[in-house]
Amino acid sequence: MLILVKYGCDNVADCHKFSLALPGDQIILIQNGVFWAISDDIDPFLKKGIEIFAIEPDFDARGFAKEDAKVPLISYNGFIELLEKTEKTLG
Amino acid sequence: MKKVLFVIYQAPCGSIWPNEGFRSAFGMYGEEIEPEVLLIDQAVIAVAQETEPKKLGLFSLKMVQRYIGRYETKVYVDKASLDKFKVKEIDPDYQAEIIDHQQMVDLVHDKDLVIYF
Repeated sequence: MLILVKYGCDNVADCHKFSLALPGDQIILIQNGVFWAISDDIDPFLKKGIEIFAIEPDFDARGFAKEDAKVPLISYNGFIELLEKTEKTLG
Repeated sequence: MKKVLFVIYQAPCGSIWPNEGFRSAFGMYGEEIEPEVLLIDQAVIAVAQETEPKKLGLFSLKMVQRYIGRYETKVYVDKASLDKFKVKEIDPDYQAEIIDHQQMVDLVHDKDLVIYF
């Protein structure tokens, strides 16, 4: 399942989305969701084996340095490719 | 038939989202879509027996019950959220099923699309 997260770690809905993720699921951090990419809150989910990506233009636009990203950064085209490969979506 | 779950997380007093979530779910019956509704966090007070936004002059929630009955729309409620918001008595007209976290994980992964309101 592909899970879209567009708000930061303080958002009820997006915390809930993270809590539902299983190993093998993919999480895409988009818009303010990229705040997760620099937060320690993401560590348990990475350890759980969930694949997490952040949208690079959204990460850059918020002034973050690439080396501070705890997850791989992908382009919007990369995001579309992932979306096309996935049958189930949570967003 | 696509399976779509509407997850509502905001309270029915001061927010339109519980009404909009249910309304969107009912609208799916015109398509080849099987909708279900899950209430989490503050949204669980929507099913409390004593909740009525109309007391504040807001749009009533009770009208959704008519459509739940008519379409037999499945409504799930998160048990931890019911405990958190001290909901003790649930209005039976929602025909709600109370589920725990693991059941929520299974429910979500069974769906083709999950939409948060």
